[in-house]
Amino acid sequence: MATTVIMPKLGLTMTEGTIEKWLKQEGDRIEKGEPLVEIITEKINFQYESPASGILRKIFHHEGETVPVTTPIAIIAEEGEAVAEVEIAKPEVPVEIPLPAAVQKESREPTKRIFVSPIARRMAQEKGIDLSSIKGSGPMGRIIKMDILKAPGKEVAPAMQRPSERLIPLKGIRRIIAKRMTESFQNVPHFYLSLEIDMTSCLVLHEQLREEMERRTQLRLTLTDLLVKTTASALRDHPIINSRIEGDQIHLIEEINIGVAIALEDGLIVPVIHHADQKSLTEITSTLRDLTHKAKEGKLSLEEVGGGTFTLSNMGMLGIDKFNAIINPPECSILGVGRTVEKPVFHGGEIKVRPMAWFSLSSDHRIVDGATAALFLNQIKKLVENPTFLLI
Amino acid sequence: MALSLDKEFCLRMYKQMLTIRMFEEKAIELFEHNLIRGNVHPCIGQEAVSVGVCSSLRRDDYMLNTHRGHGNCIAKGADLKLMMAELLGKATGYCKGKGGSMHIADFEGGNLGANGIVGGGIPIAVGAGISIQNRGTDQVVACFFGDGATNQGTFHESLNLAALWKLPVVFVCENNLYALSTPVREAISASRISDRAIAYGMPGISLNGNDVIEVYTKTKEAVQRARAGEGPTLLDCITYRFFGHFTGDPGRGITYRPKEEMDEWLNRCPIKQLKERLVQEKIMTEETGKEIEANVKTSIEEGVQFAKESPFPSADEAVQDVFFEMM
Repeated sequence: MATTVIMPKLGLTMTEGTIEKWLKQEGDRIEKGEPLVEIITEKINFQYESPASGILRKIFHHEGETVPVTTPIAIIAEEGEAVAEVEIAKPEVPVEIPLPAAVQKESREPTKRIFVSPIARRMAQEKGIDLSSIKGSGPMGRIIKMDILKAPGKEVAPAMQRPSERLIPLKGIRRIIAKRMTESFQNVPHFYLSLEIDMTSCLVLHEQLREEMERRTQLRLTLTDLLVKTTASALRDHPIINSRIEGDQIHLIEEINIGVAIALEDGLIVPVIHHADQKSLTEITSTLRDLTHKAKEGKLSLEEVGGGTFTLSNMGMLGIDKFNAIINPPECSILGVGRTVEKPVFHGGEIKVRPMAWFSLSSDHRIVDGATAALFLNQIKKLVENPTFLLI
Repeated sequence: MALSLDKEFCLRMYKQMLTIRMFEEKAIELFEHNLIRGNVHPCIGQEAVSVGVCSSLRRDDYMLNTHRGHGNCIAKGADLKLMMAELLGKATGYCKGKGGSMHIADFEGGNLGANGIVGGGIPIAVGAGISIQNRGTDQVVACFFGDGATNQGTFHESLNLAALWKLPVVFVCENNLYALSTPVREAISASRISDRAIAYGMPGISLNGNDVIEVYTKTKEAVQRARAGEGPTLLDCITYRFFGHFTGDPGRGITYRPKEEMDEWLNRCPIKQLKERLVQEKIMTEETGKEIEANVKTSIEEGVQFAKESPFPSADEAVQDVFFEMM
């Protein structure tokens, strides 16, 4: 009996999924339980196993397409087994599937058929002439060779330059980033505060701790680890920043779960250090190292990317001085940290060379105002410049 | 070792295990088709524990269940139609569609219900034990919980009281080695969960939870002890869930379980092992095996059909049976 493969619901809140990769092609034999298709949801990559044995007779949705759960995506049937043509041609679709933008555009503007002789078509293509701009002189207005020869000799029409473009479909993680960031940037009223922080004490502490931690645990402490610790401590003093907005209510969140932005080859992912305020520096370092490793292997679980209440994005190692990050919804704020640069600054009435770094906080103006966010950012400055305060 | 058990009894256990396996596969499919609202925690791989334990119970004995509890319901004699209807949230289900996958209760069949709270059922089992003692019947309570639950305070308080008062409770740990994604070895200080029984002065036994005969034999002894008024026993049934924690767990839990470990356990499939043994001892032929499989398949399909055709509870029943009302 033919089996219709659907876009499976894989979690309580999943409403749609994207086909990342078909692991079998039409005509391939597949056994029940064998990996069939890679599906990507808002949060995870999932290798879906075939629900039946047989031949993959028809694929309805191709790589990069996003469809609602329970939409038929393929048919598996035995070799030679009759699968009703209707079934293959028109899968029963429970919910209307939005067509990809490009397809919609094409179908909305039906192209007028142009009658043209094959040689005229080829010549027009070679000369870069747009056929719709030519009036044919052949029978019934058919465009013939003469019409092309007489046409003004523009070498390459702008429209014909398109083939030199390379198209990358928005899929997988790229698509999710596009969706979430657009949502955030359109719906959340962002505002940005920046200040420059003297990193001297922090670097000294980092140096000392790094040696000691490496000796004790073989873990290599990074500046980001220290910043996670500092931010978690500042958040405890400013609970309003550790919040999200839902309807007409602001939810203050008890747990302090800090997401750390990690750049991958194909995008950006933000694994979360849960209860960051309750973790020791060693625990933060080891958790973040573990999460980074898993992120690179694509092995992060749902819990490990969910539940964040604040995000930290450090672009220092990428040579960036200062940047304004887009809030990672539904969080209230995100902190963007730039590189540390030695600069001449006034210090105790003298010009001194000090290592300085820009910290920029992006916040949701619905939840906090400038003054509140400024207090929080200044608290971070105070802690970074006096890291021993973390002991209090 | 030749089986000293009755042939029909063995075949019945085999059929029940197969029923659980196929019921769970169907439940996963129904979840993927968005017909089940609420998560499903399949017990695929743990069938021998459910069946071995419940086969040693009488219908009037009690059972306390967990969030991963379909198998225990089936083994305790639940009707597949009413279970499926409950999973689909239909008015004809065990709890009129208001309990769902994680809260199937059937007092007539001795199933006192499941609990979504880890370790939440253990004190209830002790309460049921006190009830039996007060009423002076010879019933027994089997209390299921996972390895994660043995780190809850309820576990320790309950075991202490049950042992102190010699209550007729058999504590059954379905030890599948992971509390969601936390391995037992990273969460429990004792080398064996059964060792924890020592602290409360009750017998504790670790056993092969993938061997239904062993589970049955050991549970039978514990049940006899409980019935005779000699008090509780802690059984640590070591098993493995082949599926992930719940539907949607990537790669059946590959993010936190090594592939080699998962493959090794697949080789120890409780159903495959029992089948081989039954065939080898000529209790079952390949043909009877196929017959049983076909029967099970039919009864599950009938359950699904019943559930699909049943109505949803009406909106005005929303708060009925939800709160206890004093008469």
